[in-house]
Amino acid sequence: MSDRPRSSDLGIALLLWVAYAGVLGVTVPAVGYSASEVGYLQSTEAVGDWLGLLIAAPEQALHREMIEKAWASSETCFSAFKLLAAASRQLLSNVPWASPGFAYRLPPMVWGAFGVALIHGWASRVLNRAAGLVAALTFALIPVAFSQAHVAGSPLSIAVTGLLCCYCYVRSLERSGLGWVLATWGAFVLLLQVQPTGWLLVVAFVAHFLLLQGRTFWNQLRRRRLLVPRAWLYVAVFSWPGLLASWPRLWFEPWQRLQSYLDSGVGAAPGNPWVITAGTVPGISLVLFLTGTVGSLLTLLHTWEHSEAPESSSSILSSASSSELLWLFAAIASYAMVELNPRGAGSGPDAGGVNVWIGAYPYFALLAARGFDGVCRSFAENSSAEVVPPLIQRLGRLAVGVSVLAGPLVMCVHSYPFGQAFYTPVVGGAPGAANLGLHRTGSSESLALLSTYFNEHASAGQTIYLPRDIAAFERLREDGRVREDLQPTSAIGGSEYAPYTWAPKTSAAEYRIWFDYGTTTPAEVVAHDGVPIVWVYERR
Amino acid sequence: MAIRPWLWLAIPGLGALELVMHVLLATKAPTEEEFARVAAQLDRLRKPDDLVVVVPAWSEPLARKAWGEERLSLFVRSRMDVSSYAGAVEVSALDQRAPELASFEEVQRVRAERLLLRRLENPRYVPSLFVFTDQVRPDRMLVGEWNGEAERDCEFVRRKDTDSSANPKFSRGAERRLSEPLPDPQPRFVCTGAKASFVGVTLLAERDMRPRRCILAPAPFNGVLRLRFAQVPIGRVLKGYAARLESAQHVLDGTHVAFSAYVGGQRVGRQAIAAEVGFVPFEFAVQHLQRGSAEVVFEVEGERGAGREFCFNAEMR
Repeated sequence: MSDRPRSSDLGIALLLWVAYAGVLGVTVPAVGYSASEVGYLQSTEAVGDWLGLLIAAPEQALHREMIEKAWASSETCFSAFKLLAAASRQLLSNVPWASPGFAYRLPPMVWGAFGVALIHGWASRVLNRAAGLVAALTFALIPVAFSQAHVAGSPLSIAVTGLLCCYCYVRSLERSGLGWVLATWGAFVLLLQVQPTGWLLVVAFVAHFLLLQGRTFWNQLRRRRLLVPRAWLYVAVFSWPGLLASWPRLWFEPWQRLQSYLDSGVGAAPGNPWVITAGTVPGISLVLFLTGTVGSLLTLLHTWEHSEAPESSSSILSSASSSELLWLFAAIASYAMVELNPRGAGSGPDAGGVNVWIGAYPYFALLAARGFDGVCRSFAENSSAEVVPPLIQRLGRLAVGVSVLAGPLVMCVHSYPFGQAFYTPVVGGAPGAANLGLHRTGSSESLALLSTYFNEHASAGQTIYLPRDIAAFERLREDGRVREDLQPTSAIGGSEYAPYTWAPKTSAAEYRIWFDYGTTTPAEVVAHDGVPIVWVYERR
Repeated sequence: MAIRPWLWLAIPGLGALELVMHVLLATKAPTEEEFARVAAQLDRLRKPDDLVVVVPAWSEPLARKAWGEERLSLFVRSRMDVSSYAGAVEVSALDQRAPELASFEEVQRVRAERLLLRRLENPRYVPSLFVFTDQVRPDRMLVGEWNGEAERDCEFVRRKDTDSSANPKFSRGAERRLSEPLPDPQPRFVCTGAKASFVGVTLLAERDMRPRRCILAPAPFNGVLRLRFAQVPIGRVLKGYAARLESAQHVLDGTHVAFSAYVGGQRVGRQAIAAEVGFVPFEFAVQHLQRGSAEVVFEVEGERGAGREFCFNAEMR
């Protein structure tokens, strides 16, 4: 593993970052607003107002009353992200092509794309460039990840933050300087901001360290020396003050509010994680992940068995196996974070549990790259240079790469803009998922799928019955995606259009429309792969 | 030949297989256009009173959009059960079958587009002689509240406005999370006893989320609600389902609603309906009564005099 990344790898990472952010920017106009994102944006607006006041009249802005007003609605913190989103909105407010929604979503899109670049960088360092590309694209092309990468306050932002934290931590183990230790601390503070159960990553760090350095650790402990990574100290001691300082809500009654924040992460998570993972991550990526995990564990076991004396802490902690083991532990910790945090962003009824497991997906992609590397090695071993010309060997490796990415690419492109309703062939695709009664799309998000219909069919000033999704509709209107004259209403009486989005146990809402409109015939049905997602009734 | 050196080939193989599977599955389910194109074949196959069932049920909105009200009406969708249909046409995709039609016998099948249309006949057909939910109108029924001393008639009104947002929200069974406002019966009998209430037809979701059309008939405070239907043909059985609805604002108190049926002045059945159990089927034998027609009276009474929301459907078969 090289200590310094090659400039060409950095260039590829940068290219991935810009390209993925660009694709997200181009495709964002078709992505709807979930109920949780609408709530997130409302609180971001309050933070934006406060930021404006802070610049104009700092003394006034720092009054408790103003701080409470701006940050009161922030049950989940995301303070850095909200400040960035508010700043983005302010900066882009006079740019004609940038809608308010685009401006708010720009920082999370850039952050999501950064995650793709980081995955490439890490896998390139630990494995090789080809594996780095496979890792980055494996993650980028997971349909639900691509869908969530557009969204503000989404679990994808949490996933990338956790990934950054792990990367900085591994680098801090390799180098003796303070730079990566401080970076780990900063990333950990950011993680605590976005995930109340983010502290569980420390458990992964401890398990990772003890498994690699257990013997040395106990030997040193017997000599009354505590040998632990320096990053632990910074994470344990300084991250909580960091959270307190970076989240103005905690500047008053910090203990009670911190307690309430941490308590918000206890309960039962929605959905079955294994069914949802198998149903949303392309099967080939999961097979590669399993292959990579097994290969990685076997390599680690082999290293232990054949090392006569314990390796020096720096050599083993900086080995490729160290990163690979951390990927595995971090993936497990990410699942645990969700199990303990059903109230995290995107885990509400709208998401139906489809998004919340994304935290583990970067590590799946990294271990999938390990699996891909193993397959390429096996290919190379069985096609010696005497028999197979080097050019054919290279083409062969390229073909393997294409074979593991073509499926995810086709699935990802096909899933747009139905990212929440996409399911892999493992569960039978969208029809199979419908048979299983799995989540399709949240009612708020699905309004974007009907915007063209409303714009083309509704007469001037007509009203649309939206008992729960008026705020999401107003966001679309603000972005210019639905006509200004269309009016949302929470009263069914007098409304001219009534959309219904399928979700488990919500049929009563549709029956109410049948009863009131006197029809069971929808005027328009938006379906994905033959599975109706949202349909709208018109009063006749 | 040793297999192990070639195991790596399984990965590209799986990748290609998944891609092919994805393409196949993405194009497997029928589209709205396909449903529209089979409408003519459906009409040729079905008889006027046939039930039309679409499987899988999740594809039904496409069929409803393509076929319109005539083939999949609200009345058909909110059926009590399939036993009162002599025939049915099952329109199925993805080789699925409707479990409720399992006892029907296939007499004809047509494959069109990616859909299979099967005409089925019901060997256990029992015709409905009288559907009470279809007769909630002043020329067929009377509603009154008995307070122990006198019966006060409930007045029939046709409301013009259609806003039911202000209606009480009910959290019955599976609807608990949603707490939908009750679909508002428009033609209704308004009772002005101890507390104003009304009787009329509404539409609710069963625990399995199937629609149930039923007569909203709240048990009055310290009284009995009576629904009188004139000239009902007498068959073999009075069959239906009933549910006690729980207001989201009220704490469950474990009380029941007593539901009784009288035919020609003779009580044929009484059932206590508990809360939180969804719709409960009832079946009262009337075959021992004299043939012809008679008045049928339903009584609804809250246990210990408490007023309770209640909804039921009944058919004479």
